[in-house]
Amino acid sequence: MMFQQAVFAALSTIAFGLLYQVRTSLLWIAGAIGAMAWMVSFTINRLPGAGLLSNFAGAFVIGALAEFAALWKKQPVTIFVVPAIISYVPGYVVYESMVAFLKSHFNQGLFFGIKAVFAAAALALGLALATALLRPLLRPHHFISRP
Amino acid sequence: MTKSTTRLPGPQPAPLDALQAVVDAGVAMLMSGAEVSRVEDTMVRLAKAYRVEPVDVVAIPTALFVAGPDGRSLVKRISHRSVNLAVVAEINQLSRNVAKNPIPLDEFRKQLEAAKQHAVYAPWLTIVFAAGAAGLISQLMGGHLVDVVPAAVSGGLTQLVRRALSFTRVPGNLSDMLSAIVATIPALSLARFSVFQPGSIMVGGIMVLTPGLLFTSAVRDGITGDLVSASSRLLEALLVGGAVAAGASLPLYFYLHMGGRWP
Repeated sequence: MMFQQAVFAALSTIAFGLLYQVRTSLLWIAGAIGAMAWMVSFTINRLPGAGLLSNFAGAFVIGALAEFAALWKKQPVTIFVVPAIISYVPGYVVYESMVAFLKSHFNQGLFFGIKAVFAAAALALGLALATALLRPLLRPHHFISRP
Repeated sequence: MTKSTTRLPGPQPAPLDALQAVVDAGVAMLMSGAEVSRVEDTMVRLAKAYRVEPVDVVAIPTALFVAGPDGRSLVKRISHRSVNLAVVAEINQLSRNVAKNPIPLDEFRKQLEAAKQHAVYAPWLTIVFAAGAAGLISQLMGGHLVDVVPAAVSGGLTQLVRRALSFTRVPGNLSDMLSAIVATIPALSLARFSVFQPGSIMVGGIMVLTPGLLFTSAVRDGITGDLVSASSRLLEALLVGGAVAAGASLPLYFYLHMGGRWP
């Protein structure tokens, strides 16, 4: 189950990379990042009471691996982050919130809506933390030579 | 501003020409959705390579301000923004090459034009990719294997409508909304059969419209301290998301009110 999902995560990362015009030679890296992040967050999701930690961990893994990949291939980080992060966008939760509102279940709609906002915030935090922690370590010259 | 007609002797180009070319590169990057700090870094690197110094650049998602030497400055409005990571990568690479071994300005202009038009894959292929992406991501959104094909149809239709609308003067948010309306068609027409998960089909199709690059750039701009850009990109991502949600709920609203089956 985990590997099946990881394969789907890798393939959908590659498909979104193609959609965003990422070069073919870089796509497999993006796909690998997507698969690894999905495996990490799948494992964390099994822990009791994990909640949004899996989203945070997935985004952190994507952000961290993308920093390394960008340094290795001398490409913008976004090339690796954007296709991989799409699978974490809380699209299904937003959809559930939408349907609940349409069925006039306002409490449930608000619940899912707030859940989606927090999921997006967890993603942002994961990405931000990965970049903020790894950038100074991987590219020290940027942080020393700047006046 | 008057364009200088007297050219400097020697191999160096007139500063304004060089400045103009640098600004063109920055505009192209901003229009393709690059982070603001990357745009500023690239422009300063290019300006230094063409000896336009000192130069100061301020970029926000909707405008670009450049103060060149001798008090000359250029202001550009960015009216149209899209997602093309190939252009960002290509101009980034070009600036690094130019910084390493400078090429004549005309040659740089030519390469910049080529980079701006850079698209790795043909336009009609993006419809196929969108279909594939939607079909695959429906599997991560709780779909079963039967949902792959309807979700793929949904994603393909969405991208088709969005591409068709991008050639018209329909504003971006309205085009997102219309694309989302079309994205619901396969899910709504299959919802009466209990084998399918219409929710996963619909979300798969809509995911093609997700503002993933806007969101990522907003986060990265926030880290580097470009607060104006971070907050405006976050707002844009929210607007796109709102437009997509509104577009998707409209047909579903009518469907539910006509008593259609929806799990």
